[in-house]
Amino acid sequence: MPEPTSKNEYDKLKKKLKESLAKKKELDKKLTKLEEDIFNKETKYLSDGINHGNIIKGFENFTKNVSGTSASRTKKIQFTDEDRIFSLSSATYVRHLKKINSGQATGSLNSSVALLDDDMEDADSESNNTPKKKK
Amino acid sequence: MVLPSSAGARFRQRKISVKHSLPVWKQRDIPDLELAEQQRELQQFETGVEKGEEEEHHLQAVINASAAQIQGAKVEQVYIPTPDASKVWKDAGKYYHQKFTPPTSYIRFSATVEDTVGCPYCIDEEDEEFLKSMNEEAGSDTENKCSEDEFELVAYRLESVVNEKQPFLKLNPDELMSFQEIKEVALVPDKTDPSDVARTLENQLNIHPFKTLLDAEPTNGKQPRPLATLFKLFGQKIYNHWRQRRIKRLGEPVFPTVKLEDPSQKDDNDPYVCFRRREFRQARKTRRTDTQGAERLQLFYKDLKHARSLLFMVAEREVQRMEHLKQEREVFNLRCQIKNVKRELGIKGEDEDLVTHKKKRIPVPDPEQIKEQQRLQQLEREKALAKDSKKKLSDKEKSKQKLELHLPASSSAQGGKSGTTPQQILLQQQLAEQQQAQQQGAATTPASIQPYVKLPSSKIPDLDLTTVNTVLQDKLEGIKKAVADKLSKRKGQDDGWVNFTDDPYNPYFDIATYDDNLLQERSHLPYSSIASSLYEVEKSREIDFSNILNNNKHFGHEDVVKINAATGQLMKSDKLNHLPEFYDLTGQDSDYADLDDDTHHSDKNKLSISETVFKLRKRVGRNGKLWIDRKRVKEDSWFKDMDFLDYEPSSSESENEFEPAMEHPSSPPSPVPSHTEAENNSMTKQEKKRINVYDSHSDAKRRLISRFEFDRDLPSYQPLDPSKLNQIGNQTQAIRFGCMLLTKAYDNMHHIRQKQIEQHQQRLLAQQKLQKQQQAAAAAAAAAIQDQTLGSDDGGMVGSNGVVGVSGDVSSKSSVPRSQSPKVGLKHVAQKQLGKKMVSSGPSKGTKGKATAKSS
Repeated sequence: MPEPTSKNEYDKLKKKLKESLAKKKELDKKLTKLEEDIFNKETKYLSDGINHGNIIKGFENFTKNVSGTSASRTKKIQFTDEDRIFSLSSATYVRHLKKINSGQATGSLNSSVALLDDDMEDADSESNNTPKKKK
Repeated sequence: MVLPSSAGARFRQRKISVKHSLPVWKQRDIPDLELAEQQRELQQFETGVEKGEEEEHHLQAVINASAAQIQGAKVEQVYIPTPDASKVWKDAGKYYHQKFTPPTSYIRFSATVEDTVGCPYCIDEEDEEFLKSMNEEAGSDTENKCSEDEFELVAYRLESVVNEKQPFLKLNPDELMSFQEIKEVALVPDKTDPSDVARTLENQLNIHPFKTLLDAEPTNGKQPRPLATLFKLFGQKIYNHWRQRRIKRLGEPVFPTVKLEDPSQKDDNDPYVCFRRREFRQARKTRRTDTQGAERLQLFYKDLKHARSLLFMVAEREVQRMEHLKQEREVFNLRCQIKNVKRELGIKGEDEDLVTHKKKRIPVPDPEQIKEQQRLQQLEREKALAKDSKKKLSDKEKSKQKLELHLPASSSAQGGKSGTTPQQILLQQQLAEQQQAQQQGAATTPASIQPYVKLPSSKIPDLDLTTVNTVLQDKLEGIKKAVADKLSKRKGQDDGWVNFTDDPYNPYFDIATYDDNLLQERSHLPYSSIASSLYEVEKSREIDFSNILNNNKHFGHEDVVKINAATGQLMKSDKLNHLPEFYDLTGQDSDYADLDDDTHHSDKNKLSISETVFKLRKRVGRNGKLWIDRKRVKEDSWFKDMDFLDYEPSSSESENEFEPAMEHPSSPPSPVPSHTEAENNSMTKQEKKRINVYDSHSDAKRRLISRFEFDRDLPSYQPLDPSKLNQIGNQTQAIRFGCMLLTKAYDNMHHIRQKQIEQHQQRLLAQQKLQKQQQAAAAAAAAAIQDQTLGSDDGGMVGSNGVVGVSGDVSSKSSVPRSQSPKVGLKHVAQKQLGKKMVSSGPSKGTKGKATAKSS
């Protein structure tokens, strides 16, 4: 701090900090809500597309001729957590889900999140490894 | 050759015809048969291109050349010309800077070329010259200078607007729109333009400038200014330049574009058309598939919209995340500043905002903190107390208190030491409440349960401790509730009905065989269908339905009727009692728990039995007669209660006395022995009371009872069960009955169908008859005149034969083509119509026949 500091300055800074902390909290809340919204909407989207497909799996069933009998024949697209590219692309949300699941130990997300996590760790270790190799 | 469709069609064998002369070939006429055959096969080679394009010059040249080569001729190798891609332009490196470094993974890319090239307009030398002069005019101010990218943007917009608004500009290039006109359109965002997506996203997500990975780096590191400002600054000048160029090009776009095929005016001869449309015949479709396509498109649209909104949300999330990170950074910076300031000013405390707090878990507070707080609180209180009690308390107690001061808070709370002063007790209670607010009951008196175990408050579980008793009780309650639920469910099924079945709520499987003497040949038992009917429910109850059936009262939906199982009388309609009777199968029932008397309880729950149970004894009497003695096992109270027994049934009926029943070994039991038995019985009585047997009213009753008690007309069966009457198993009976119904129904159906068919046939016949008559009438009218004599001869017959004639005619309907028969038939018809009139009125029949024929 090059300029002369005073009690006034300190109070101002403190006030600013308080404000920005509140703002951060607000943002935090908003983000979590948004992430949850994404998750819910994604679930709906994926389950809607069971018959005709989605943008992750493709729309193969669209081109197939759907007649009365073959409607049942068309393979239903089961979506897994790997298809949840929207919600699980957020690392914080993955962590959040993991926390929930470790608390409840229910839900299908458990394994896949763990998987995802493993992947991430793998990626981390890889990224850790590569520079070493280069060295 | 594999493709018969084309090859076979070209070399179809013609039929040999007598009309064509066949050439006769001699050996010398054919130069080399083998070679000719080879050539023929050669031409069958599939070229792999469309039939129409096989004529293409270069292809033909190649085919011919290879054919000739096979024939032995020396030919030069012929190629289909392809663009020369062998040349290397050495100066390329000068103009194209390669900044690309190949990634370690595969390149995954789904953007189109159009997405990535940026502005489609490319500046050329002419434009460059103009741009230079324009920028020079602008002077030194960089704000007024137009970069190449910006020029391209403006020029492209000019072109695209004009291309869209004036598609037929080349017919009259002078009618080019003015700058003002173009400007009006150009500044309205173009929805179809790919750059529009970026623009809308830029606005919606509030990111400026919106830049994706696909966007090229601006040439001098500067992002082009927005179109509106560019139009304002340079629009008019660029427009003039561009207009002059476009007019020079006779209205064609300045920037070369790919020449696509115009579907309305197909020009196969234009070599510059790119991407020609292939023609193929549209497969015929039903209307259904048409709508299906539309529906599918709608679905697709919806899906994409949904996906778009999702992606948008993800984008928004990322934007927010960025903001969040920025905020975090700001907080960090502020904290650093504040720390510095604090150090300089020497301020202490007020640190709570300077540390990142872990999220506090509300239910489990930090044990250390609480301990600390509690200790502090306690210390304060103790101090206060000590001050207060200084005067009152003796030195001993004082020291005790001092000792306790140093004890940890929890120990004093749980130690269970008897407080010496009221203050101390109060204190202990307070502490207990603080520590174990969540624990109830037992927790309030911790000393009694866990006198010696000391737990830190954080480790005390939040559970209510339960005793084994409560667990067991819960279990029992659960079972009872489940049973009650089942029963009420069962009752719900009976809603609106009166259940006359044997105890529908408590099924029992007390199955017993009949008396042994029924089975003559036990070895047949496994194969006997009758054997199944030998089992019966032992404690079956008969319900006297006459009471209910004779009662005209209609049981409404709301009525819940309870029937006394023993007497068959309606007991009460208890709407309030939702649960059916609950027999306790195991013993103690909660409903009867208050009844201490065990026998009373069992009496109440006992199933009443209508049939008395006997013991049977077989013995051989005099003259080899077979006797079967029956003995009542237990006195049935029910019989005693019957009101018509005015005098006590003699004790002879009970216990030890055997009542002989006569039975012949082979013959079925008849009512005769029972009569004698009853008489025998009554005889003994009569001797005592000296009453005429046949006058005695009571004796008749007695006989009746006796008969009811002991006689069975048939070996035991349930009189209410019709299926038991002929000793056929329930299932068999059901199947038989079902079959009977089915056959009956089938017969009925068949009958009805037959009738329908007959009616239909008759209707058809009648129609045909009518048609025939109409047709015949005209013909007959003419024929009648001609065949007058013939008609008069047959006249007598016709009256009676008319019907036969008609029916014969109809039956010969299928043979109508026969040349003669219809005429005869028709004649008959006409004559029949005229009927006896013709016969009776003799000479005038010709004219009359005409008249009737006409009228019909």
